[in-house]
Amino acid sequence: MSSRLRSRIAQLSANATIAIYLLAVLLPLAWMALASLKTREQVAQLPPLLRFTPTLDNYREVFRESDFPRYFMNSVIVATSSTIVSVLLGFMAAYAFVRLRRKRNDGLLFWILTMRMVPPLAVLVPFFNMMSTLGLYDTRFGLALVYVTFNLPIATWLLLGYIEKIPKSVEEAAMTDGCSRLAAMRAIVLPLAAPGLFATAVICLLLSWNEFAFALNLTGENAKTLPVFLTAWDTQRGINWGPMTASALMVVTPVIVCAAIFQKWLVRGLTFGATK
Amino acid sequence: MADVVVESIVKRFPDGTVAVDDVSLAIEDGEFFVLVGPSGCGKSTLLRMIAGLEEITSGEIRIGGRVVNDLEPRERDIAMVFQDYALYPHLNVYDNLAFGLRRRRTRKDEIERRVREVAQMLGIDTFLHRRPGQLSGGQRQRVAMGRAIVREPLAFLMDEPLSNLDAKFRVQMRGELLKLHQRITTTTVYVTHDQVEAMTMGDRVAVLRDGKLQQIGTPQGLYAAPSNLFVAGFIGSPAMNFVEAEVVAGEVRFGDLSLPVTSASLDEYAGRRIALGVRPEAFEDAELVRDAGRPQIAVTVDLVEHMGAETLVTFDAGAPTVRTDDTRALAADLDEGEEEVGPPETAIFTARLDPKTDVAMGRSKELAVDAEQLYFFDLENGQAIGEGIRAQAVRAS
Amino acid sequence: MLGPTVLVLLGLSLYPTLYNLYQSFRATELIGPAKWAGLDNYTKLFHDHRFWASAQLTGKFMVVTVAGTVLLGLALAAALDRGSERFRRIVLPIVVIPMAMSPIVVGLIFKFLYNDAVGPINYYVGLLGPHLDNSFLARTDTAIWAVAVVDIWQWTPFAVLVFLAGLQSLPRGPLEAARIDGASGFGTFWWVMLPMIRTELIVVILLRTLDSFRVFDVVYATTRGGPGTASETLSIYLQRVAFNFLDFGYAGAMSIFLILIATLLARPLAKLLQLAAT
Repeated sequence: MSSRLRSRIAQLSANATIAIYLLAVLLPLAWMALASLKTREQVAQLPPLLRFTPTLDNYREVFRESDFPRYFMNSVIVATSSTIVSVLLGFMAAYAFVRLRRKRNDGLLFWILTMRMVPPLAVLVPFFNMMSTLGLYDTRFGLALVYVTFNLPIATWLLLGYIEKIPKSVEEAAMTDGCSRLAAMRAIVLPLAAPGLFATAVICLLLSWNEFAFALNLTGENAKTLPVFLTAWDTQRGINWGPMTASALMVVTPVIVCAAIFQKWLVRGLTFGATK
Repeated sequence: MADVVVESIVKRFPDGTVAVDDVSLAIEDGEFFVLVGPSGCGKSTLLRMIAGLEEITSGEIRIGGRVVNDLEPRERDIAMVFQDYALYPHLNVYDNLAFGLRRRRTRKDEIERRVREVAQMLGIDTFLHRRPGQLSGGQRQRVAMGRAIVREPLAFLMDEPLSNLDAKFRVQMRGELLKLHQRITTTTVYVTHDQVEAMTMGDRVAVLRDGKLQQIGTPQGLYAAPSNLFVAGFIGSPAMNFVEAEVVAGEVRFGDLSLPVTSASLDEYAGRRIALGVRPEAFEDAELVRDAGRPQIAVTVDLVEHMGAETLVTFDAGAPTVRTDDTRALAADLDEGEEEVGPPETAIFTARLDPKTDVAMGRSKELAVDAEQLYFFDLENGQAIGEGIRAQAVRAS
Repeated sequence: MLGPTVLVLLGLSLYPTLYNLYQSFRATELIGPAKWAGLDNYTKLFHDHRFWASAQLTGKFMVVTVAGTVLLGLALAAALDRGSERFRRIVLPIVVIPMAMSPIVVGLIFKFLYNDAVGPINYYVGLLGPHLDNSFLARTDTAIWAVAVVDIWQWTPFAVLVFLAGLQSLPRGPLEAARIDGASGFGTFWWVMLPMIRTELIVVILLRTLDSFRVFDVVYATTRGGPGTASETLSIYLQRVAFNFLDFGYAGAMSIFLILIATLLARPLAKLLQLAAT
């Protein structure tokens, strides 16, 4: 076998592997999308019905039978507010770390990571108690506050990496050029860290949007978020697949679009900056 | 424009290290003043204290007669050029230049005028709308200069601004910088570790070592009359040769060689060992020297390097090298910084000869020595011996 | 500047631990007021078969999902590394989709796919052998593995992208040297590329280990720990103890235990990330 042929075969088998994998990724999603457009009878048909007249009945049912817009707004508000607070505080903390200390603090990093690693269930009872006592149970504010606990450590750690890459001398140049330290931070550090802030915000938004354990136990009807709402289709009497897939699709579509666009940042963020 | 006065300045870091130890300087208005020394000697720290980027532990700094100790960098009206240029990466060249002026609320048309003028002066007016990332190293360097000049500050502080350029371009920029300084005559404090840069650029040069001021003077002054072993070895290229020698009856002896001297100040060292310093350019091929009165020494040539305009010859002085804190610091600066073990090695001398000289490796050679360029140092403290520092040699008969 | 963050982290991290600790020394049965219980909750933990069974189950789940994710991730990353840049630009935005989705959605989709009445998996496996009972999520012996498949489906992209980033950043020199030294394609991968991406390997293994240690969402969405306790992981059991049985004292003791283990697991990760970041 010539080496040319051999490398051609290797190339082909690599491509085939990837093609099969792409199918494995896309088929479940396609299945969900199709089901959301089918009637109850069509969903139940096996072998699966591929040619049918799509209907939007399931989507109508979601909006008729549930408070979907409200849950959607809850998710949006909780995710964005906790993200903004986390990125803001995280930026300040990271800046302080990089500039005002000579050495990087191992202890704090470990602490930050531990906070990210602790099972949410292991801290749920205390938070449940705190929220009830403070009257924050089943409020968007309370949930957003709890989300800050897992977003802030990640935001701080990620922004640390971005701010470290800004040369100290650029800031000093601004200070000799007429800026106070705070003004230099605003005029120089902030714009230079902007991509980092944005990437960090994307990660925080994603994690908050998808969060389930806290939302399940710390909200009732009022502040219920989308993931919790989705599980409500799973009842004792079984699942009504049509509306369930319809609402699931509406929940993941924004996230999928985001992830596809910000794919590089996503990986960097979820590995805590360990990949470049 | 203003003078810069540094008085008994000390910088002690929280971990206890003293970076600058009681340094005083009086830099005159319009002067191009160079701080030079090996890395870690405190020169950058001193400059940063003048800029206000480092806190002053004790002492006083005055710019234009005003005490600036407690002023923020922005209130000192100085401009700094950084080693890595520290251009604002998110702003184009024009905005980089205008940044400081805008901070000072300069009028818009005034900013425009000054930026254009400086850009033209530095030849960077053709890429005002590019960002630093799109510029070459040399262009960035010019932008960094421009950013300082456009401000028309009381003084320029430059922290090794040429060290990131390649060798050839660095020489060119050196000249340009000097011409620039002649034109705008703003007081400039210039930090470098490169003694050639210091010698060629400075009106006056201050040599620092381990946070302590060694000597201040004009380049010629430092070269001709170094106040101690360190300055003597640091200034000049190739560096001064050192050897341990003994003072005996109007002669300094080292190995089989001896050179006659008469210097009243050497009298008290009679019978004792001193450090003898000889500049490479103090040697000449005896055959090429008209003046037959010069003392001569016969040496065996180890190595010959033909440089074109000169020929460098290396030989063994046959006596121990000088080992003091000063020479160790110099060796460390040249990155030869390994500690010696065992008995002291013999000193290797370099002589800088006329290219017409006829030498070959392994052959012996008669060298004439210019006794005016002999230097004597105390082995204990490294200080130059003698009031006028330069010892007077007596012509041998 | 550090103030607010430290304050928030301190308040929100120290408080739960201390509260858990406090609760864990109290008896909080359903009826009657809470009483001081000493170490009762901890002794209960050590004798609770259900707890140890769920710990064992979680351990198995961790091993299988991490191994599956890493192996699949390596194979796919290697395949993608051979492809052209253009090809990758098309493929990667699709690959990334599963890991961006809420585990709840992923779980519900697979619950649908696995369903014995309407699910295609069940249907097609049934065609292979009608005698097989293949409602995988509903059988006690397969439920946890069916969930593991879902978890692997969701997180393989993560491994793929991290490994691919590592492979792409490798200098070409050593790879060409290995070629010249006579290594085969697989040999080069195994002996040269794999050791060179060991940081990425360890990061993925540690992160996935920690995440599957606390797995909750995907189990909740698919089986809720059932049937019975067949897929009851530690987090699911803790959820039941706390919010179904309302035994906060016992839940506190369990929480302390889990926090301790997570802290131990986070230690090497912190070290590694510190190295990778500098």
